[in-house]
Amino acid sequence: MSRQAPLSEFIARCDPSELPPEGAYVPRSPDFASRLAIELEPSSKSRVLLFGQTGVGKSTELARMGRLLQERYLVIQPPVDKVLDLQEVGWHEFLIYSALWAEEHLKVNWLWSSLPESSYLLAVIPRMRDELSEALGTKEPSGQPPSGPPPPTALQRFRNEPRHARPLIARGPAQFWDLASSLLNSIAEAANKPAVLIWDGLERMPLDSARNLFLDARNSASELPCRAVITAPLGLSFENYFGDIEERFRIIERLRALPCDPGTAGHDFLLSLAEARGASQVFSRELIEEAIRLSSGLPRQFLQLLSNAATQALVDGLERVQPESFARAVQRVTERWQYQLEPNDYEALELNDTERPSHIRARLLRIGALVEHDLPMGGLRIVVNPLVETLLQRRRQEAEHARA
Amino acid sequence: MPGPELQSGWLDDVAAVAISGSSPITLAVCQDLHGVQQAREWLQSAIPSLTKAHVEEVPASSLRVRLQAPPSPNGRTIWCVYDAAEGSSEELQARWQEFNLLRDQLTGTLRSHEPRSSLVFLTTVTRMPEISRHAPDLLAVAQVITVSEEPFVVDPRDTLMVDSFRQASSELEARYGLSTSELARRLLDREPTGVPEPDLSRWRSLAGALREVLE
Repeated sequence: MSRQAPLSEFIARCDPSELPPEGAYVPRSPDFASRLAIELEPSSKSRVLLFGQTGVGKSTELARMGRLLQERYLVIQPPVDKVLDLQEVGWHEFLIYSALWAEEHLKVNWLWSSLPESSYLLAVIPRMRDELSEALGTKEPSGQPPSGPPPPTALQRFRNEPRHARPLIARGPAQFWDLASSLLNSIAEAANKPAVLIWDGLERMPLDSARNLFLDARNSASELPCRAVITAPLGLSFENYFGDIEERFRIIERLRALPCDPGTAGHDFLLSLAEARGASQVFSRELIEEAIRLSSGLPRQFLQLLSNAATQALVDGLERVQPESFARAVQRVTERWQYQLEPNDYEALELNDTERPSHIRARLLRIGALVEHDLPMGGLRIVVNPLVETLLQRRRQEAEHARA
Repeated sequence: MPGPELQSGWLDDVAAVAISGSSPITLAVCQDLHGVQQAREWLQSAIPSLTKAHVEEVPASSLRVRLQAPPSPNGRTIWCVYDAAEGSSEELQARWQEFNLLRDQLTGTLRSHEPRSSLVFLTTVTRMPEISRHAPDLLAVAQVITVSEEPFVVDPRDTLMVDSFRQASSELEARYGLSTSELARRLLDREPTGVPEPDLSRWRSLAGALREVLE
């Protein structure tokens, strides 16, 4: 085994853009995924609107919740944020895409083979899919397929051209809604489980688009045919119209950055996260503590710091992560903000949170320059990300230097 | 007043991060298009000498198509998108919005290759503000390296960095009872240093990075 093998192994276990590998999931205290699962139980009208900034751990908790529910529910989690244009999207597109996605994926995976041959659903589901595809103008041509690659499926056609579908949907939105709902209901019936929709990634929507979706078109959300957990941009919760949105969702949940002070549950969580990935083999306890402090309680940022430091140590020819590799990793993880922050962002970051214009606060939260924490006695506290704080310090120094 | 400008690596670092980094996607931010050309040539020659891998140049307009093609049969591949910062603002917007949406497909595909492939976007400092507006989610999962033309040096104004590097080099000085300048003299005069290899190499790179602080 090479002397640098522990570093390489750690890097492989520590990719911050991936869901935790098997066995590396660390539950939060209190267990957030279980709470979400319990909140969805009461009725098929249960809707959870989940707020939380990028990197706070929403996808990990939603994936965990999905696993907790999958025995009793048909969990449908289509990658809506990667396919639909979040700048301009409506509930109809979400629902249609989800129904087509469920039909194609569940058919391939298990659903069709488990149905008895006599089941009427074997005919009904494809017919509904075709009806929906035809209305969208995405049905594959009938007749003998020509030689060559197979024609794209209804889902692929919709995925490739979601904008093409918008004017068609606008001609008869109720018809599309009913078709997509019926298709989803039939799939759930075939699975013999109630469906749960998980729409993750919507926190990346620009605020104006989110307002259109969650406020102007909020009635549709309550008409969804099954239980649903939907993520939303954090900035929405600071708008004065937020009360109207709250009314439409049964439950509002927030996942905020963890407290990082030693002795807190958040600190222990991050320590366990590092341990689950094997950090103690290549990091000193002091460096792990420093990474916790600089993580601002965002698990993704914590893992980014650790994995970048391990990469730097590997490049430097070291066996373990040393303080200089860690310092360079801190700089590297900070670097993206120097391109994302504009001059007026820097000015806003220097202000107290109450003085920041809400649209700038929303943007700064979205790019992680500001971080939202729970206060121990309830309420929230918004702080500058410690990595961004190093940029602010540099900027102050440079301003002083220029003045001198 | 604009923000500060950090520079976290030079060309060797880009090659090393592309090979060993935890994220399979790297954004190497060069000073200008001339720097992009330099980085492109550097990667072509440096990567095969560092590891068993080859560089495949992929035009930005072909990335989606390349993504769907089978992996290269010639072993580990580093895709280099060399023209990602070229074109009008409209072209840049369309291209980087598409890359932003493709981010999971990109990381998934690169990881699925055996051995793992990686992707380096070569961009420029002047286009980065636009790119970061159009691809914020890609930036959040990629490794961003602003490429300096010189090997890494600690900025004397960066107190955090200076402290970390100084502390590390002081520890080595204490461990071997030798000052950094004495070590440099012995190395120059080809005298034995008494420092075993892993520590000697670490010490040399610490001293190199601190060159502007020690001057």
